[in-house]
Amino acid sequence: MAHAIRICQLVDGTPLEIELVAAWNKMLSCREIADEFETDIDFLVQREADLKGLDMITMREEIRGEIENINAAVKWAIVHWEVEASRKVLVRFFTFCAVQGWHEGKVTYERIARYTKETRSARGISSSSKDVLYLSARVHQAFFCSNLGLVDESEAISKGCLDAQGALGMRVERAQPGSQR
Amino acid sequence: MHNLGVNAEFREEYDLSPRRLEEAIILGKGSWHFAYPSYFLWLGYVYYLLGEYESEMQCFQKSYELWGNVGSDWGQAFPLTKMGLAADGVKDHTHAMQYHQEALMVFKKKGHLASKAYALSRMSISTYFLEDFAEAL
Repeated sequence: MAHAIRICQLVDGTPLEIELVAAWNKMLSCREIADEFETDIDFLVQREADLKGLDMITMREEIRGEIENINAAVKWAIVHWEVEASRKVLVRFFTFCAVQGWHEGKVTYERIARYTKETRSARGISSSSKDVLYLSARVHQAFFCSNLGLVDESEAISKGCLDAQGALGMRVERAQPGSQR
Repeated sequence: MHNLGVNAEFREEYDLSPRRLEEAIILGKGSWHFAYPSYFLWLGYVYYLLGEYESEMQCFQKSYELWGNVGSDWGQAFPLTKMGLAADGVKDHTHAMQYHQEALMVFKKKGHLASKAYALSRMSISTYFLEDFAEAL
């Protein structure tokens, strides 16, 4: 039952998507379906290096083909408060969005920030690591806003993040929308 | 900090923008994030707008080097187009065309239409200055 609930949360309770997942259930258990989402996160992480240069277009198309699954996986990671998986995806997704398009980047990170905020509210989580995730999503969103010339939107988000990150002692995060090696 | 530096650049606040971008560069030193080399691109562009061509070129060369370090020839093509812009700035349009051509070749190889269009738009400016108006068009 717990895995079925996880899946319903992942697809926002959308009847059509639940029907689609139900069809997979003939071949996979609920747990296996939920695990597939985790695999999709790894899929993105593993392909980042190729996306950066050597085989950019092939990798971009491969990721595009998996984008719905990856989006679902991102949501799963956030809803289930998988901090490290979420952080990995936040940073790796940037490379894909930079290649794919700035508007898509803005929309993607806007959505991730919303998931994070909703999850925090629903779970009553107030830890600083949760804030790190939200702020990272917002900084990435603001990055794409800047590149799209949406200066006021980027400015408002970035200033808010800078203040919050400073309060959390996140010196490096103030400078860039990712994490350090 | 990077975002705020870029925003300041768009607002033509040329005293504020380089300070923010320089701080972002210092804070982000050692980063492997794909965006980091672009910090130097934006800073170089501010120097271009300020007419500080030597500093400008140093920034573009640093950006080129960093993108090389992460194995992205696609990324490297962006500072190449900016170097072309710099060459145009000092009226060295022939060299500018060479930079743009090199960038265009990378973009073509990658099959990335948006960046190909970006390089072609830059080339049209160089060609215009070379008074080859038909080619510019």
